[in-house]
Amino acid sequence: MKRKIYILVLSAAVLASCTKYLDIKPYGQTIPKTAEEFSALLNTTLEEIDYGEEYIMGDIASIVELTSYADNLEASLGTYPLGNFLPLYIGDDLSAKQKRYEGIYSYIRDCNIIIGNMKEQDTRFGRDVLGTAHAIRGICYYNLLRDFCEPAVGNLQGHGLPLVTVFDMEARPVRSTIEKTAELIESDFKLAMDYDIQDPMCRFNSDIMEGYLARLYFWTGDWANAAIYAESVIKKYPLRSGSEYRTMIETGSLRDGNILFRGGALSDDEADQDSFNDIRVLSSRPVSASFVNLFAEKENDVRYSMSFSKKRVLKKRLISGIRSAEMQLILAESLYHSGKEQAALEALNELRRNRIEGVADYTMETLPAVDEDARVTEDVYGEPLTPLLSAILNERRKELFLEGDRWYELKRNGRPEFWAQKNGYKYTTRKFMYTFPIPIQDIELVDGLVQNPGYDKVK
Amino acid sequence: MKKILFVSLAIMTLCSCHQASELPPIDAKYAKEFILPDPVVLSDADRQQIKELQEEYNKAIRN
Repeated sequence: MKRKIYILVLSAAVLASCTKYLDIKPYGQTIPKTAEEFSALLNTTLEEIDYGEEYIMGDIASIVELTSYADNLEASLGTYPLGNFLPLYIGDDLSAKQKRYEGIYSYIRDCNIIIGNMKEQDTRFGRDVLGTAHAIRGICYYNLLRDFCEPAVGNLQGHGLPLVTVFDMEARPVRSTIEKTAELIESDFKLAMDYDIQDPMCRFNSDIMEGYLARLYFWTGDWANAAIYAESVIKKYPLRSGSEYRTMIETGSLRDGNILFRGGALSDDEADQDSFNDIRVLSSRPVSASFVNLFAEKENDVRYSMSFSKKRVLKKRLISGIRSAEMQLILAESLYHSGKEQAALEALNELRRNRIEGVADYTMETLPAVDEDARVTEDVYGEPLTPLLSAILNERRKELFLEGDRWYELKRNGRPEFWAQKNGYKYTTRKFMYTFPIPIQDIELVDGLVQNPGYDKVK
Repeated sequence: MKKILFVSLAIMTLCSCHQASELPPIDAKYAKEFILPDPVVLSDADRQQIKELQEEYNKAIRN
């Protein structure tokens, strides 16, 4: 009898140790209730954006990385040991991109908790919180789309992202299509606009969302909508020129001139020091000849003296944000791909008039010939560049120098392969490397989750 | 017998879960890095290209 009792006690004790093995879901115990409680989930994120983070708006370190992968600086002529702190080419960082993927999804999780559980939707504060959650989730998916999916134009049925829209730790979604991913992003941006965020602390007002919509449509090749939203932003935030432009670029404030938003704009002394070090490290690479040669008008172009010194050392302040000049270039290229070439030319000339003193407008006849040696030789559809599109892309390269744009431009326009040398070896940026790998662990754990091409060997 | 049971009980109870929310160390069993194409030694043509790049740069910054 005693033995039976002991066995019973033993079994009860062992089986009662955990209610449910691996049970970590809070089941209503820690989910906030009021808008104020939910906003706590966002406050940290918004503060991180202002003080510099790499996953949503990006910070100086993000720009340094993206610039290192691209070709505006000449990696093969980099100086050492300072240059050792930079990735020589994208291959150096591809495995680390798994952390980026996981990091961005952790912000999406926080947004999902708010969107799925917050009931307070009829107060001003509640609407601001919900709108911000939609804005951040949309931006997160937009960043993932650009990094972890193949170029979108003409490839809408290609592999998109696993779409997670509710907080469910057991969910194991597989990849959607690029089209479905873009639809979710579009819906989030539009919902953020519908909530009409008023609190300046919530940052993502309707103007910023219009800018992001223009970016999304541009990335996915919805040229008509890209042009509509880009034009709307430009009307509200007109282009600046001359000293006004110079001040706007060189000032580090949150919003200035037609900069709608700047990430990491409130960074403190310590972060500034980090930024200073990042820029110093980036300066170990000279500006590439192909970039310098784009400035045909040299000193008449305000960007010429702002971008680099006579020793080809970069000078421009690094910007991670969204501003009207990008919208002007989105407008020009969108009009071009819509078959409105004359309007596209006018949009290009408008930007050039604001940057180059005394410049004569391009006409279809005076556009420079396409540079046969240029790295980008084809457009988003794989067609050879025309003089007009080549001029638009070149203007974009000059205007958005040190703003993290060139890497995505290379990805959008043909993913050209190029190499850099170090210690007698050549390291090639291959076509597949423009699309980052899905984390190995996710591939192993989720049945049916498809890895991007080129990443089948792991160690 | 009683002692054995008590000792077994104690060991099994203490060994069951370290913490109620403990997850197994899944990280350890998965690979962490991707194997990418190896770099290749520069060819003579590559070295010539780098030399021209360097010469162009040296000339440009002297002016």
